[in-house]
Amino acid sequence: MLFNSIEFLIFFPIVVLIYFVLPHKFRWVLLLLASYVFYASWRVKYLLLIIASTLVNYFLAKKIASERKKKKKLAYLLISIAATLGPLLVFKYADFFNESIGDLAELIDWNYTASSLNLLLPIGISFYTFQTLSYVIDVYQKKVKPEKHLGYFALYVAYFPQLVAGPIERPSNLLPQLRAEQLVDWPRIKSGLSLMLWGLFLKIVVADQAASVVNEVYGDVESYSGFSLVFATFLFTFQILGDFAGYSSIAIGAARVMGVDLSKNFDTPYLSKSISEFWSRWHITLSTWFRDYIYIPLGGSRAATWLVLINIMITFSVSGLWHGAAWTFIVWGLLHGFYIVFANISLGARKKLKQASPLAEGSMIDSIWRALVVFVLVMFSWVFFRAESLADAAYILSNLHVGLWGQLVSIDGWQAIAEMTNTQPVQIFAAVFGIVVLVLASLVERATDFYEEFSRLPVYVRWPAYYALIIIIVLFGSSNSADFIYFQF
Amino acid sequence: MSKSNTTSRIRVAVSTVLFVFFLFLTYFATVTIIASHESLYSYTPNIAISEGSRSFTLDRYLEFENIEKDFDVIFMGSSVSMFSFNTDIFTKNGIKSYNLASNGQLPLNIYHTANRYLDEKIADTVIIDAYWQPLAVQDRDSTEAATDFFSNTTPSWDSLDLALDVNNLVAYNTFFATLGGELIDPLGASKQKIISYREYVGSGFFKTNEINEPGKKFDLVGPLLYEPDQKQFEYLEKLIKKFQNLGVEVILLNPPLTDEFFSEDRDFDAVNEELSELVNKYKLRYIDFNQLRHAKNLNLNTLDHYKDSVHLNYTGSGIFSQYVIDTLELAN
Repeated sequence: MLFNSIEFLIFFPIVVLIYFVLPHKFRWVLLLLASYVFYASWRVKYLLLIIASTLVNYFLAKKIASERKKKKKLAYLLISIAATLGPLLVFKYADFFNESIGDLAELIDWNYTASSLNLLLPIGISFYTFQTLSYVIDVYQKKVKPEKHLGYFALYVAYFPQLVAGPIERPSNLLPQLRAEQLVDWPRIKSGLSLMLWGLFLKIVVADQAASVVNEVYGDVESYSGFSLVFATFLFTFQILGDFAGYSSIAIGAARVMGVDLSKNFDTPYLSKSISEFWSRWHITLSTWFRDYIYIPLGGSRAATWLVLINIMITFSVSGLWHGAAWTFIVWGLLHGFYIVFANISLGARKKLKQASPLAEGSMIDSIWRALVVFVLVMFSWVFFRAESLADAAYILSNLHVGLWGQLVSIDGWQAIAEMTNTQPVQIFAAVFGIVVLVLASLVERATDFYEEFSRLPVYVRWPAYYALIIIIVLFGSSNSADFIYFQF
Repeated sequence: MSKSNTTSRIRVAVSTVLFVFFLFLTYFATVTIIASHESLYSYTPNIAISEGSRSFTLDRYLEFENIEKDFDVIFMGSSVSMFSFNTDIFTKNGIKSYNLASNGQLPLNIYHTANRYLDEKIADTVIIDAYWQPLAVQDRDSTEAATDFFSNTTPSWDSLDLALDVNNLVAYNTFFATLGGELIDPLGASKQKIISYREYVGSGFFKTNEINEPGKKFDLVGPLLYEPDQKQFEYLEKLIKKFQNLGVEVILLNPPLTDEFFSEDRDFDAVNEELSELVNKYKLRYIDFNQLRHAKNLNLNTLDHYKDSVHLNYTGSGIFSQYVIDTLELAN
């Protein structure tokens, strides 16, 4: 079930209504059933994977906690990790590894026949797998006690607002909230609904309108050059933010309506002044997951400098692979790893350069300049993320400049851009309009706690703002709204 | 339950009702304003107003509302039908006909058009487009013809019913926008756009004066695999039942397309299979002119008789219409 579907528009109010009517002790049953219905509306049989993962990790976590011998504890942990990661590896990566071995075999003239499994990827598997892993690892590290109630644990794994695309929650944050009795709290409900509305705007106005242009160009890159490629990449930069931040906003809003605070997942990432800052503001729950469960266990920042740099590269390459079973994603991850490694090793030189520069550190021009550089670097990396193959990415990068200047000076309106991208002027207008609203909102959000401030405004300011947002969604939202991009991960 | 709790709930309920009420008012006012300015609606992706459209829909529907309704045959369907049935040729053969086809008019749209204009027996025969595209799953659903209908007819419950059946944002917005527009500035014949290369002939048919340059190559449209659209087949069946209940003969007809269209390896089998089930079930006449044309020497060539790879031009429509009259023995 998609958040941006009529089905969800009916499903969600019914669940909320019953939730608040039911006595507290039965609410977990409702939420668990609702979560399973939410997931099963896509594919019933893949629900078994979630249930199996729930049962295995519930019992193994209890074993880990009760076992006194370290070796046995570790053995249970490893079994749990293997059982949790197994389906992910089979469904998501088996064909990729197989094909990669096949390609390698061809290179070295080795007779290897790669047969594909061609399995349909269970929606959201990367998310609930990571959430479940964090639970067993935290139990092993004694950061949390194992959940005794199977129902609450099952709900922790499958809680529908964040089941298929996060935020990836930690047991210490989500489990106590699921257990707590939530009362009807109108300000919270209003704030949750506002967030959901904002998320819908990000998805169907910003992301889906941009997608109509991006899909056209990236679907047939060799028909385009110069401005078309730059513009499509620029739009994709906002499409991916609108899509994923939109999903997160709806998820956080939906949980808030039911009294649960999910973790913040995006915090104006495109206004970051360094790549490290970008990663502390982009898909925050995944970044912190990688930091806590991969980077730090590898040695983190306390190891020797060369080891730290290797740890960074390993973490980012795994992050790339997490996003998708393709070399394009791995290159994207490595590129971000490289950005951070380069930033680390060039720190001294950059400081000297800065001292010689007329721009005062921390000045507005300095901040804008740094944000711009980070934006361009991130935008550049999205080429690999969106391209359908490394060959396409190479074509795009080698043709970004071809005829660019001539095309730029010939632009005299929406029609000209539409012709260059083989789309309609109205699609270009809608995409750019959505991006302008998003950028303005990001600037406001960076300066103040927007939602908090907004909720204090009088009704004659809030209602017109809600109306404006709803009407913009209805008039400018894509009528062929697509799946969320992160579902495929 | 405490008094303050009850008061708080009443307050929430009242403000929710007020919020929804004012939201609708604001929405309606906004779409009405947009509907009255082309510069606004041409940049609003989810409002598709085509008042006085290039296909003369405004003039044609207005004419149809006022004409004496006693036809031998009425044509309905997509643009393939709109360009194929030259009503002048039918008149010359003593057949009173009307071409009610329009751009993107799929069975769902035909059904609602029929609800508005053909709710009683006003013709002996209705010829419905059975070209594969409208019956197959496609990106462009019933929205195009629906918004054309909203833009060029007076709003009614039929229009709302059509919007509900199409069920997407574009259909709803265009319905409410044209409803608001109609309240401020009602539709009238004067709003029909003048199209330099097209000329309205009458009885729902218009002539196109586009001439193909020698050697011109047309883009090939449509997919390679045509998968039946169950929704459109459901409406086609409802239509057949409706007309048969009125005592109107239904003929399904697939107009001839260019040889170039068939130069690609297209698969129509699934659509043909469903179509033949309907034909057998309701004992209909179904003629696929793409199969007949070569057997019966229907001489149509691409550059002289077509305006693109699927639509006949004025000359082509004349030849084809005479051929339909002869084949179906309509003049008798």
